[in-house]
Amino acid sequence: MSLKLISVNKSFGAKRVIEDLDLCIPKGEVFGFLGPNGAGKTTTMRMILDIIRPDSGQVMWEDKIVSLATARSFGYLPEERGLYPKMVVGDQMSFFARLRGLSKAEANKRIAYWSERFQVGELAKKKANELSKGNQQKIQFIIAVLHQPELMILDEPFSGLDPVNVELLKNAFRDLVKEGRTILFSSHRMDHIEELCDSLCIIKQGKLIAKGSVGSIKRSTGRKIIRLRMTGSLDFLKYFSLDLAKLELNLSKLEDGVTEAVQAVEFDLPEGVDPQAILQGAIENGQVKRFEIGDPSLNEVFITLVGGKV
Amino acid sequence: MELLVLIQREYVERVRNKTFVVSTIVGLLAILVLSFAPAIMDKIQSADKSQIVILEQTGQVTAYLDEQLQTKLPNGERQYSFQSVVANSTDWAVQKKDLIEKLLADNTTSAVLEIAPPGAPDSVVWHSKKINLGGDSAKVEAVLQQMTTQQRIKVSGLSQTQLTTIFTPLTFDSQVEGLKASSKEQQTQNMMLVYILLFMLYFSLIAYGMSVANGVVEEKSSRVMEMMIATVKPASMMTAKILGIGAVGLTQYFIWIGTGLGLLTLKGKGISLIPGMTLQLTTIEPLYLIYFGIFFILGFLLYASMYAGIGAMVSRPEDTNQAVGPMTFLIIAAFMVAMVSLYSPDNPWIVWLSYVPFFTPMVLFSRLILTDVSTIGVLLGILDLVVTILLFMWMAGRMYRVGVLMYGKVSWRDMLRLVRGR
Repeated sequence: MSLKLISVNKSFGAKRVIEDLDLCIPKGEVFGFLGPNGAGKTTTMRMILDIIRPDSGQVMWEDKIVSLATARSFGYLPEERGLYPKMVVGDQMSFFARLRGLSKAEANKRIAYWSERFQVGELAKKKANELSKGNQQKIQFIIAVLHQPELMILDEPFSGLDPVNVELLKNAFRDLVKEGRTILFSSHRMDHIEELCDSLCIIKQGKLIAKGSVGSIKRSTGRKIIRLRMTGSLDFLKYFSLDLAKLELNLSKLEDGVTEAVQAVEFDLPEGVDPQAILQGAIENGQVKRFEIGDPSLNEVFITLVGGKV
Repeated sequence: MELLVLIQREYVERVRNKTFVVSTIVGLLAILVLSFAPAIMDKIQSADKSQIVILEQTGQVTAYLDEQLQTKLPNGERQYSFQSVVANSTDWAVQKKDLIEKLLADNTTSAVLEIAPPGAPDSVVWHSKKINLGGDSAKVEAVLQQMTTQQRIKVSGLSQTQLTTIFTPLTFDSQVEGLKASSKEQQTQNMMLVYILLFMLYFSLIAYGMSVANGVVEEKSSRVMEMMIATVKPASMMTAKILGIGAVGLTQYFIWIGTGLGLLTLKGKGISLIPGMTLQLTTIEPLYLIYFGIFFILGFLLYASMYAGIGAMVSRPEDTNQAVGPMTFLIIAAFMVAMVSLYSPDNPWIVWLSYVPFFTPMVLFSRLILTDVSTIGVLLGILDLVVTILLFMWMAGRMYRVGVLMYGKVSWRDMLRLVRGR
């Protein structure tokens, strides 16, 4: 019971969009689908929904090749939000629910529930083109969830939502997963990914460059990050072949009441250096408020993997 | 099930639309006005009374005109009334001018006729304040011409019987052979039916075909398409759109034709679209009405599926009008061919063209009503249409589907390539 992509390839004309993509997303997981703009995320999602077909390889859901029949049972939030502009929102939700085989009565019951949950009840009588972007997106999410899909494919579900709505959506995610549903979503907000996902993958130019749990991906770069907050001079760091001038970028001064300034600094652990030695140095040079050896943030990992430099 | 939901959306959304409501009401008003038009025309024409004053000595001309020109107005009154004024004063030449002026000054007299010499008029002057093209003066002239001719013949010494013989018109009967209609009236009726089909199809295609194309483009430009493709078969989508819009059109026709027929029953007259040609529904062969229904619906479906295909190739609403241009030409071409077929339904070119799907609905219908077409020929035409419609709907669906990937201009070659693959 899972979604599987087996050596999927797709080209548009001469342009290779997806190259030998293998993925397996177990049932009941929230899966983050990351990649820079134009990496092929939307194309992959469209192939999962059988909107376009791979040139070679297979997309399987519950060991069957995806088709319109499976796609209908999925919930889909396309990247390009699409509602009938002049159709009343309430009718629109009911229309899509009924297309997926719900009875009118059942559809209305569920629309009432989700409209209440997303605080869009009073929009039901409005036309879609009268709604704000955020509200349109909430309506589209409701449409995607109404027929209780086993698998939800959400293309950037958080973009354009205010913090209150982001929370509403996150809660909905958690409840849906509790019910055993699988969610695959893309986002450029790493904090959302870190918070919601069990596992994730990163693709770049159609190629898979990382996959696994959030923790394993963070560790995969082999980088260790030292986060240090202390009083006193940071000059001792020079002995660990760290360029203070470069670190200055990450350095911030915090006023700690009337006493001396506390400095916070964050840097990559240089190769071959024992972090304990750095801590030793810090203790000798001032008062240590915080010392942490950690993994880089997902944001940093993403930037490293995708090609930028931190 | 899904098809029903789709059709229902298409239908309900359109019928609720302001454009539909307004156009239906405007149509109804037009029908009301048209059905009262004859009565109104009667009223207007009835006000067209003319009084003609004749200046003569004997009163002979007045009596003759009064007897010969008995034209009745729609309200039953006589159109012309004649009054004679005796012209025998001594200083007539002076008086005449004043008299004519006086007579024409008040608006009851529309013309003054000056006759000279008395008896058989050799020269007549028509005095009027308006230039009357082919109207009253021409009629009066014709009658006076006749009077003079008769008088002159009489003078020459022919008897009344000889006169009657000379003026008896020859009989001219036309007997039409080889056509289905047994009489000229019936042929006119059949042609009328073809005219109605042609105009209804033409009107529907221009009006509703465009809304099929627009409907498809709207779905593409608003990006609902992607949701739809992930939910339903593109062919069902296209079928639903065409049937839904077709049903909207039929609703409008039912409202209009129902009202029209209702008014006609009230008045008890036939439909007169073209003056002089009247369609009596009771005298039409029922089979023709069935063919009418079949060819109207198939014709609509055929062109609508082409409009849908064009809609599927366009991604911006602004481009739709330009893209449907060739369609309009095609419809006009079909209309022209059908017009030719009305007068020469057996022309070999017309026979061939009547099996070209684009022309079949109009041309084959016209042929089968106006001339002999074998049952197989008719069935072949219908089959040919159904196959083409299905093919076009399927193609429109495919084009719609590949449209997800292509926004902006799509060339025909790209389209063909994509329709084949995915």
